[in-house]
Amino acid sequence: MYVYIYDEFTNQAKYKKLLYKIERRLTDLNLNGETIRLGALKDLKTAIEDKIKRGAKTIVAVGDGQTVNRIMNIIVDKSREKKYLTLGIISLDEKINFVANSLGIKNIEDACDILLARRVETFKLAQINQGYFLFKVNINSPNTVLEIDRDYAIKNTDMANIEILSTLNLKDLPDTEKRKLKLTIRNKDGQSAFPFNELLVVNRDIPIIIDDSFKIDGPARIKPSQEEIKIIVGKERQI
Amino acid sequence: MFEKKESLKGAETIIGPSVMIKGNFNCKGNVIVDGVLKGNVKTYGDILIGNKAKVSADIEAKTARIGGEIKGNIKVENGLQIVSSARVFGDIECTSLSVEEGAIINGKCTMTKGAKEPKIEIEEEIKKEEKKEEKTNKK
Repeated sequence: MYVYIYDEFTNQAKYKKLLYKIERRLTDLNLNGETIRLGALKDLKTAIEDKIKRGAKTIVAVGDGQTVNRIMNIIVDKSREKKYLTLGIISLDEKINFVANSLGIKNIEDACDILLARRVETFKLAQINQGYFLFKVNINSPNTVLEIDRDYAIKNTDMANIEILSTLNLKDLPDTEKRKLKLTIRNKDGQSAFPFNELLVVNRDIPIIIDDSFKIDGPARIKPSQEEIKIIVGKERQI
Repeated sequence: MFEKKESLKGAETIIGPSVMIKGNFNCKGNVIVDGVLKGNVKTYGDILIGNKAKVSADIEAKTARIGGEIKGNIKVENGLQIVSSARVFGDIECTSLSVEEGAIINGKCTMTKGAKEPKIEIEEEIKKEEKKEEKTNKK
């Protein structure tokens, strides 16, 4: 059974035609299911858990990258006992949705066909504080202090792009780099790279961007996790 | 290991310019340091200290190429290259050493493995010399 979760912003008038298009396509493909609309809903977690109890096997996030992350974090919790739970994605992002794009889900028409094709892949997740992310975390602030593996601290003295990449799902890696995340610091002078097991962003109130989708504030502890999630992906998956 | 240009194949860790590191830095692969490092560095691989790097640390590696400033001891299992731009203030321990003209080293150098200290028994040497002289004089 499919459950479609529409993020609150999709209630805006400008999305009306788009939603009609999606629902018509889903009907044509015989992929109708139950719907949850965020906005009036106070407790998303309870609502999803309730649907899962009633037999839902595929939860589809209809929204943007933050919608995907929010629903993914709820499903991960339940996936420990219910291994069949799968996440699907229909992106309504006005800008390019990094997560959907990386998974080969480029536009709305493709998204519905991809749900029908049901190509399922399992992804290992990295953890940031109490939540999880799929691909990367970015910080673009100067004087950021990072503690690595509780052994040493790094400070970038210049304005730099700091990227923490989850390499957990990359296949062709040497043994020394498996089960580690990778920190890259790029500035005008060059690039630095560090594999690590655990990283702490020490600075408070520093914006941290997750999967190019939404921001949280520091401090943040980032590390590989034991958790996995099943996601329906497109043929042209990039990561 | 080290090519003519300042580079290191397959470096797992790169500490670029404008990056400062403080603490105990341990890793398994090859390391390039072009920034500032304070503490200790230990790797099972090779280490390249770039010309503009400033390191206040003891360094332990399989092989090393030093181009910048080091305040600390260097212990290398195999070869150590110290190039002309290097300034080393500390002791060195390695099995093979190459130093370019212009490099500055202030410290003790110990060559390990294969370098036996020659036994000089002075009295025996003097006796041998005296016998040689006698033979020459008799002739």
